[in-house]
Amino acid sequence: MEISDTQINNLKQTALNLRRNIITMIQSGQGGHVGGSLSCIEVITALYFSLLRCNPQEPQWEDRDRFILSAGHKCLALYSVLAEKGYFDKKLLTTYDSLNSKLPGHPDRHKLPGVEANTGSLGHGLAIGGGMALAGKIDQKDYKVYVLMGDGEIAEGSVWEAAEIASHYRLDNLIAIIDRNRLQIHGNTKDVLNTESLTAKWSSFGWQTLEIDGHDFVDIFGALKNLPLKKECPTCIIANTIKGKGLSFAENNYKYHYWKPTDEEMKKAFIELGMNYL
Amino acid sequence: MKELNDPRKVFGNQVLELAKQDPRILAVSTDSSGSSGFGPFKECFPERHLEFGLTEQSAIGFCAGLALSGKIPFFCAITPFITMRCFEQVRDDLVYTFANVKIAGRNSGLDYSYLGYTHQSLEDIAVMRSLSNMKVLVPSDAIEIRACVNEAAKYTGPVYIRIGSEKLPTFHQSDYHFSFGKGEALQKGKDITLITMGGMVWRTMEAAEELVKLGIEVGVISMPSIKPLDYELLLQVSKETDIILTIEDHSIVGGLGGAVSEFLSQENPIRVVRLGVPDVFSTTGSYGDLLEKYHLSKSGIVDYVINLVKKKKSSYSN
Repeated sequence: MEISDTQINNLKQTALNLRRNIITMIQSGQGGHVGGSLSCIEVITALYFSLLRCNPQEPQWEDRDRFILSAGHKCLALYSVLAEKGYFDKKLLTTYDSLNSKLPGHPDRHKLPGVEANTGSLGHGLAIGGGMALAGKIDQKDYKVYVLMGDGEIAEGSVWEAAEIASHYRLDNLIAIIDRNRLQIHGNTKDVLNTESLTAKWSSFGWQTLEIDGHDFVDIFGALKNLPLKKECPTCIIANTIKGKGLSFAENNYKYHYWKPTDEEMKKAFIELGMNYL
Repeated sequence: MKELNDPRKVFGNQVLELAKQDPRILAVSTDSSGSSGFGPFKECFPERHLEFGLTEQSAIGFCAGLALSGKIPFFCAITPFITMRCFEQVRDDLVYTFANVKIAGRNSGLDYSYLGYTHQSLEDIAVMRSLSNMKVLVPSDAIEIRACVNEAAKYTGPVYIRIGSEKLPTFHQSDYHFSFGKGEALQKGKDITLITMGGMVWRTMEAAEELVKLGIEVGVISMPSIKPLDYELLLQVSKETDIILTIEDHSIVGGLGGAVSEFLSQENPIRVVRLGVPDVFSTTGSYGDLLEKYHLSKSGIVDYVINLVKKKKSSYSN
């Protein structure tokens, strides 16, 4: 099944809304991990608005597909999509990073419906998602578990332990998505610690691997619509993305990993995303 | 002669007994199922025993994911590996997440006497009890191990159980009841009260018997629940005894002695002396030799207490 032009246009509009939500949160909290949150927006939009089996009215539904944001600092993207999908009132977005906020700087499953895991320290999510996938196999359920990681994050050794376990247990209901924007806090991932070649590494760990354009809905939909890529193998989707996507001044600039906006930058962000600056 | 039991076998068999009633219970190991007491479990429920190889960090993460999907994993491994190698996973994925996972450290304390510092565990209680919401249990005989496993399974949330490998004599009665946060006053004594845990309890009881014969009024408290700690009992005993001596096969930093001192220094500051492995790297040798070296054998405890009480009495006469 292919994605229609209408569906693509709808997803593009939703992605724009998600980016706007992110700017709203950053304006409220006066800072946030913007770069990585913006780079994964198309993937997250496609997941929540066309692929995931989920119901915002029943966030703990046993048969739901699970989405784990292993790169917890990209929580602006998660909060944005959960709000847009109706898991909670959008008004909450303006409480981001305030005292005792339900939307803290890293997600907390006890505070917000739809958050599956308490992530923040990198390299934890794949094992947690793997455990959920393994439980699904034990219970003979057909849900899938998606785990989104950054390309800097996969330097963590625990990721590779989890990758070994997943292929050992033939978890073909587990899908790792790597948001490869090629940047991390201190610069180019290949300079900080080169985690390439991703395809060769994941393949050698027994994963079926596919590289896509992480901003192209046709590509994303094509990769994620018919999973697993191979029966009894976990899947790794390497999504090539642009850090800071959607804000011209932040794109491909590692200095926008975390952003404390100036008034000038904030105005620019509002204009670029077609929002009214208040 | 009293019945002797390998704590690991008792632990594994009790998990198996519960698993027969509750399909959510899983046994998890990292290349050590047999020595973690899960041999019979594996035989009975091969599909419910999960082997993760040497991946303690991710094994904890997997346990969290399993628990968030309705399972109750019991994960047992060598103590430093299941508490410290994966400490951050325990902290974030189990405790902060409040995942219903039970972890058990085995061959704790000085058990791996010949294998040295990497395998001995002298800091596990200190790190585990630093975590909010974690229950930290150190049972002292077969009956208490079974009771702790039962209580851990009944409770929804993370629990750490510390066991050794030395065969333990059973001294509890079969109708013994264990609760989180409850200690057990085994005997009372005005001169000194010995507070201890796990495999040190029976030794301490034997030492106390000898001390009583020598005319020292000695009390003994067993503390199977280090977190939550029995504050009520501590406060009460601190009013009834001159000195408290904590006895543990753990570092004197942050363990049972640390927990008792933290509370009493604030609520009723009496003299608390901590007997355990001093703040140095432990050495190697036979288990018996190591206990002797650190005054944790029966005779070591007796000598240590006599010295303490003598000093106290001489300081009065001066």
